Order: sequence, then C-alpha cells, then structure tokens
Amino acid sequence: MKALGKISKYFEIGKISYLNNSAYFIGTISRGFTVFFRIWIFTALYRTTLNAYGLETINNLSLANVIWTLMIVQAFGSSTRPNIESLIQDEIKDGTFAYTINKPYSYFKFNLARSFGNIFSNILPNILIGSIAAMILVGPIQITFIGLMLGLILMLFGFILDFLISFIIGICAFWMEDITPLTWIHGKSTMVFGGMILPISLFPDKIQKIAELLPFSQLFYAPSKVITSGNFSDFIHYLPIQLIWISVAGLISYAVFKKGVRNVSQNGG
Amino acid sequence: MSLRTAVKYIDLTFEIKKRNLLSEMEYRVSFLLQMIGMITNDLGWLAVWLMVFARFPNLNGWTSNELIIFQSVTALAWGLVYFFASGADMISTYITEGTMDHFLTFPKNLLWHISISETYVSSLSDIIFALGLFAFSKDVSITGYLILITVGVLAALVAYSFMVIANTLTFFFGNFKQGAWSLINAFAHLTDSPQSVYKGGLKFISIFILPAFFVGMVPVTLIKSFTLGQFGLLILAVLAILFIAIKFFYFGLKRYESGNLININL
Repeated sequence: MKALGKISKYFEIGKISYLNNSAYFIGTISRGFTVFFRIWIFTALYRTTLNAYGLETINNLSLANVIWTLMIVQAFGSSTRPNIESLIQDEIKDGTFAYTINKPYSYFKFNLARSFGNIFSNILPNILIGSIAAMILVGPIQITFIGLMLGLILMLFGFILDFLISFIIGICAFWMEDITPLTWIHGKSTMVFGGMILPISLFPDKIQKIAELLPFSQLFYAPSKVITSGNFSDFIHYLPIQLIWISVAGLISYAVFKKGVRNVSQNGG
Repeated sequence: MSLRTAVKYIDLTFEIKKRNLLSEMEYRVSFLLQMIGMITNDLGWLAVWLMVFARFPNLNGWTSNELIIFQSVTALAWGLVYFFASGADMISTYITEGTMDHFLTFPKNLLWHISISETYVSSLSDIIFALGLFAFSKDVSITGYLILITVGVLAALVAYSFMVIANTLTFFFGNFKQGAWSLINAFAHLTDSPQSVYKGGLKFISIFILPAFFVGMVPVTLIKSFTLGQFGLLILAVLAILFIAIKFFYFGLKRYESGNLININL
C-alpha cells in the first residue's frame, strides 16, 4: 500500500508536467511542425541522391524505409524537450535544488516523472504530424504489430537512458559555471551517432559497428529501427546494449548526485 | 540615420561586446569549455555531411568542396548573429513576460539595444571554425576570404532579420516562444543541409518564406564565381528582409503590454 502511494505521488508529478506542457497548444504543434520540416528536407536529400545515382534502395533500405526510420528518430528525439539538464542547472544555480532535496520525495524520481510527463505530452503529436508528413512524402510502409511492441519497449528504455545522461549533465552544474557545452556535445553526438540525419545502416561498415555500441544509437535509433524493420533479431541485438548503458549511466548518475549533494550549502533565512 | 550616428552605434556595439567578452573570460574554464563545446558541435555536423558526401560524392552539382564553403558561410553567419545580436532571440520572452520596459526607458534605438544586450561568447568558435574550415576549400585565396567575409555578413543580416520576424510574431499570438523557436529551428535546419537538393515547394519556401537560400546557396555561388548581378540580388534581398523585420517589429510593438514588474538592473 505504501509502495502504491509512492508510485502515485510520482505519477501525479508526471501528470502535472504532462498537463503543463500540453497547455501550450501552439508549442506542441510547432514541435510537430519542426519534425514535419526535417522530414521534408530529408526526403528531398535522399530522393535526389537515389535519383542521381539511379538507385532503388540504399543498403537494401528503400526511400520510404529511410524516411520513416528518420521520422521516428526525430519524433522521439524532439519529444524530450524541454531538456531536463537545463531545468536541473537552473535549479542548482538559483538555489531551488537546496529546497527540493529536503522535500518528501526523491529528486531523481521527481525529475524522471517530470521528464516522462513532458515526453508523453509531446510524443503523440510528433508521431502523428511526422506520420502525416512521411505518408504524404514517401507513402506508407509495412509496420508489424510485433515490431511496434518490441520497438515501444526499446523506446521506453531509450527514454530512460536519455534521462540518465541528461541528469548526469544537469548535476555537473555543481562543478561547472555553464553546462551548455556538455549539452551541445551530447546533442551533436546523438545527431551524428544516433542516426538522426543519416541512418546508422548507411554508415561505412567500421563506423557502423562502433556507432551501434555507443549509447547515442540506443536512445532513439534502436527503437525506430525495430519498429520499421519488425525484426526480432534487431531487438535481441539492441536490448542488451541498451541495458548495459542504462546500468552504467544509472551508476554514474547515482555517484554524481551523491557527490553533488555534498556541495549544497543552506544558509537558512 | 546620419553617418555620425551610425558610427556611434557601431562604436558602442563593439565597446559592449568587448566588455561582455572580458566578463565571460573571467571564468576561464567555463569560457574554454564553451569554445571547445561549440567547435565539437560544428565538427560533428561537418562529420555527418562528409559521411554523406563520402558515400554520394555529387549531390545535384554539389561536392564536398561546396559543402565546405557552405558550412563556412553558414557557421560565419550564425556566429556573427549570436555574437553580436543574440538578444533578438529574447524578444519573444520579453513580450510574453512583459519585461521589455527596461529597454523602453533608454534613449537608444530599441531594437538595436535589445539585440546587442545578449552575447553568446561561444559563437566566437563558430566564426573561428568558419574561417579555419574555408582554408580546406579548393576556392581558398585572399579574394575568396574577402568574399566569404562580405557574404557572411550579408547572410548574418538575413538570419538576424528572420530571427526578429519570428520573435515579433509573439506580439500577435501571445505565448509564442515555442513557435518562434520552431520557426527559427526550421530556418536553421534549412541552412544546415545541402541546399542543392531543394526543389519545388521546399525551394520556394527557402527563397520566399524562410529565406535560407540567401544564407547558403547564393553566398556559395558568389564565392564559387562572383558576379555583380548575383551580389546585387543578395544586397537587395538583405535590404528587403531587414526593412520588413524592422517595420514589423515596431508595428508589433504597439501591442506590447507591460508586466508592470519592478526590476533593479545593476
């Protein structure tokens, strides 16, 4: 019963975050618009490339397959805004952090709930608008029920991993004046090695093997690949890598949080 | 505006930027991290496109050389905007929160004051990156550099004007911060991808609605083969969009509602 009470507390935090984020309709739609626009640019890029080289597929991937994979990656990636690391940094700098750690909830779980509240308010419009864009630009692709379910499991783990990385970066505000450079490096690494512009399947072989082992490809690319391919073997390939990175990031976030909390000074008043 | 006034504004801009830069450099580690972070950011972007071009060496007439020139121009343009005028990106926040009063009380030009009030020091890395990257282009020469800097400044004016327009929409839509961000993001994305592949509707949008062609394609063409006609076209486009941005901002300003906040700026 006590455990249920604890879960419902964080569920309520997530719900508030969800409602708060959904209240701004223009914001939600405009994020979807960004996904739409990117998909349009990618379609122009890959269509021109295929036409110029007289190809039907790239590495056995059709144009529709490439675009749908990119659309899902982009839709998942855009759902994590606003970035939790900036919120944590602001709270550390303005002193809110010192107050919140005394409250009867875990700061870590509070942020996890807040982050998932944001994600759930963004993901449906992003996927909906992105799917409309992909449907208009390249037509439908076949997505199996099993592929969708397996992809959703990886998506959940991908969001947890993304949260853990963002949490670690946010907590670094205890030691750094400004965490923005870390945010850029994280963002760009996700863009390059996370298949947000060029699907990892299209990377040169050696780089592809390395990219698939990095955490960045496990955030949004792995789930979108499984959703579009529907392959159980892809799921089995990505799941252990994801779980290893979640464990590593979880341990690091625990350690930096413990160390960071020691830096808090409360002056009363 | 007389020449004397213009010179005064330019002087003041450089003085403010110098002070902002010195103040940021006080925190050396943070300053260095910002510079390194931004260069890593730029290199990451370049790496993705180089990978695309390694696989497909010719995209509608663009090769890796055009890509290098393109990245140089766009990095220079965005670097200049964010170093000198990143305050323009705060207009939406000031409108939403009703906190523009602070600027309204000063005798200097309002849009200029808001624009220069913020400095992203890390954007200096963009400028350094752009100038360094151009050295790897096949079109590198002293004349090439002169054209790059000239068209880079013009491209920066286009990007700045668009930023002002997108943020000014907040006067008409209420809380439009996310909307302004999305518009600027879409515009930036158009200036990030090889523009030789844009056709049909996308090309139309890149010229007339989100004028990214004047930040990418036109400057690249001018660096590759300079013609007075193309240069004149770029200047005309810059003047037109800058004029629209300024007029639109002051038109929207009439709808500004103060938040009646009492702030002390030290």
